[in-house]
Amino acid sequence: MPFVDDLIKHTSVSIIGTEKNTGKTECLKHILRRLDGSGHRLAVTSIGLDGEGIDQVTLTPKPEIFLSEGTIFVTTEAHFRTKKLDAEILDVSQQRTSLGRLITARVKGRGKVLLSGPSDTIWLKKLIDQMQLYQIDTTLVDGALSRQSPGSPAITQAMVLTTGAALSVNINTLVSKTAFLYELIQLPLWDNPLSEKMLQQTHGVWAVDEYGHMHELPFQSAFTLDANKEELFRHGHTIYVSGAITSRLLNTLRMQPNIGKTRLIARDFSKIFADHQSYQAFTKNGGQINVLLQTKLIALCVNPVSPKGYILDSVKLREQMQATLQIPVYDLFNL
Amino acid sequence: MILADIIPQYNGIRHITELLPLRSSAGRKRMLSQTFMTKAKDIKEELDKVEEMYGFLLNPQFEKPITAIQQTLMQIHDIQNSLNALVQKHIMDEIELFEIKRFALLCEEIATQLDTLSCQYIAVPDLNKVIELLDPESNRTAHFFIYSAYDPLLAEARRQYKALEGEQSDEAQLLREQCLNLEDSIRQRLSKNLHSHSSDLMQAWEAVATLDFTLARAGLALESGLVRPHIASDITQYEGLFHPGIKEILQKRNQRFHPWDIQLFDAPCLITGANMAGKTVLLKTIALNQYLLQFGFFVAAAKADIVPVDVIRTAFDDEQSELTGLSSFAAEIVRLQSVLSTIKEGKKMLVLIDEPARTTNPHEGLAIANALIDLLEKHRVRSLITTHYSKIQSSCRKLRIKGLKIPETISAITIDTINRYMDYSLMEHRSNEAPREAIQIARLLGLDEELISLARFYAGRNETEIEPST
Repeated sequence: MPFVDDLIKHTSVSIIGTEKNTGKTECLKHILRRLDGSGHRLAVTSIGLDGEGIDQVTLTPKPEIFLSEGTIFVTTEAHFRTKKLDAEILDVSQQRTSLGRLITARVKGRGKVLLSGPSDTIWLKKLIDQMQLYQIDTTLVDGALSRQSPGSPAITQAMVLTTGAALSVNINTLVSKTAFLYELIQLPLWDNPLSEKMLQQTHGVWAVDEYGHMHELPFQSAFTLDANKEELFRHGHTIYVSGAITSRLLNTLRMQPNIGKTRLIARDFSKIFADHQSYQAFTKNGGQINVLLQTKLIALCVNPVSPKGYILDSVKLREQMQATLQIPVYDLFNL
Repeated sequence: MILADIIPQYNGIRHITELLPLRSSAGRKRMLSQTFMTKAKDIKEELDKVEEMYGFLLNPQFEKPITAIQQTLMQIHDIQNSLNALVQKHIMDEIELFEIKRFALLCEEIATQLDTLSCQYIAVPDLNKVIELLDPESNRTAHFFIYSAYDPLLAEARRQYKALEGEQSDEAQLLREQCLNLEDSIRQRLSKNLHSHSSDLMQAWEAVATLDFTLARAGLALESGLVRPHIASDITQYEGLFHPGIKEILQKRNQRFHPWDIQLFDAPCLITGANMAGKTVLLKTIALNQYLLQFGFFVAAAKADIVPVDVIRTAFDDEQSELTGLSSFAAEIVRLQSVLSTIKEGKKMLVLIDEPARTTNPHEGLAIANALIDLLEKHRVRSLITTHYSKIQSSCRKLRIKGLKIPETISAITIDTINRYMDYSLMEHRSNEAPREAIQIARLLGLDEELISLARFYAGRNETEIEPST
């Protein structure tokens, strides 16, 4: 699969599902199989937000991952104890997750293990950075789209996206939903000398005036915007929201007379939680959205099988997805 | 009594412990469990340790080993549970074995650095035997695995299992089980062997904890300008006494903390002075320093000779006590009673009371204050009592904080600037009249003029009513 050749050029790659059961784990397994014996040094972990172990939606056990010798993995104490492989412990964290401390270990005799990981992205980033200690070439992170998404370019360098019948069993809806997400991932960078300074602001809402000065606006976040809307455009129409961008924010902005001049800046695509409709209405009316950090999408993988057993036509799905998104699409279940 | 009991009660102590540059949870636990020492010998031993580290910190020649120790301390995890499990002869799992190996290697590093320093008072036991047990391949890295080197049978079983290339056959299953059984017996053997070193490991844990706590106390002394106190047997004597927390706040505002010189005999001493002259701060500072000494810290003064006591009893507003919720008078009575019952047990005490009986009518309040001071005198209790009451009958020693000296040209001051005009130094005070500056200070602080003039009128009338002869 050509995307694996691209993947190994990055020090950290997240595998993000648009929904549960879109084939994240299958994708991770595929990458591991492909790189087995290649000499490329891998580390794998997960972000353990939903207590994993058991899939919270379908209540099916989360599959174990097969790891070969030399691979480093990070998992929680609880899952480390159930491992079916031989591993040398390299580190034990002091901080705890709900499933105990995090164990970093190197596979000494291949076998299976359940992956879980740090409970937040800050911790995850620290772990990824630590992998340098063990001369790791690429760290793979199993993750989801959520407030703590490792897909954020601030956390991992590149991303593999998985989508499929679990998101929708209607090919048209599935393609359109995925295309919207792809559009967010492709949002253009805000090419401006101020962007560095903006990145340092992790709280609040900011405006940039015509002279290029940043002003903090009196809002905690986009959620408290309605209270005094008139304050919003006091310093011009370029607005940076450091936190979540919601449908409500886009709808509020769209209603303003200056929508045509409005440029909204997000940290990265993972901060945009607006729905498709609000996003479209915002951009159709002339609003622009930029990001400070752009995500590198390595591949889009589709899973034609839904957790309830409904199977989409793989060829049709791939072709339609490819035609709409104009990027290569892989079906790892029908290779 | 341990330090953890005192921290929630006194903001001053809590502040000091927050400033302590502790680097490990071992050190933190050691700090919290430090006992309140009453014997001069015990205190001296602790202070010797701190002084030694203080000397290392001051000497640029030792910067490298000290930094190395500090960095190593930061890597020490809390492995007390694993150690307890070992002492109780539990069979260690891989994670516990890893923790013990890592700890032993870090201890070895610390021991090497302590050698460079020729440290006299703190020594980490030799854990080489422990390391050897957990490092059969002699890698000297803090990683752990049930290495094949532990048992040729395990090496062989693993080799055969690997040769099957992950087959799902019965043979593979059997080999896997064989490996796991061998690993279990190795863990049993290791746990048993390690158990015979458990007292060394426990001692090492204690040593590391003490080292961290001691180094932190020395670091704090250097950072906050604390000195080693001398242990005295009859007179407690401070020169340049200060409150580190308040000094820090004032420094941030570009203001100076005015230190005191004070002597405390085994008798009560009455402190008077204007409002805002710092009487309460003086009491808090003396309580804080007495605790610092008896928990083995350097103290906040330029020079200090301190008599250790069995019990420190205080009654001032700083305390976060279970008495909140009682009426202020009831709370005061409960506090006073606890002081008196301890006095009558014949314990050596330091008693610090801020304005006794101020929460009731001045007539009876004065009577209670007088009675209290009589009792403190009778039992020869080292004590400081602040008061605004005049007419304390006792012939006890009286000190006065000099108070406000405002140039004629200044007509208004603020809470921020009053500091400039206050003379905080202590002087012997012969009269039994407390200073009367409350109305003046209230006026300068901008209290309503009409109220001020009415207050002056009443103050004058009271004077003639109560004291017709003067």
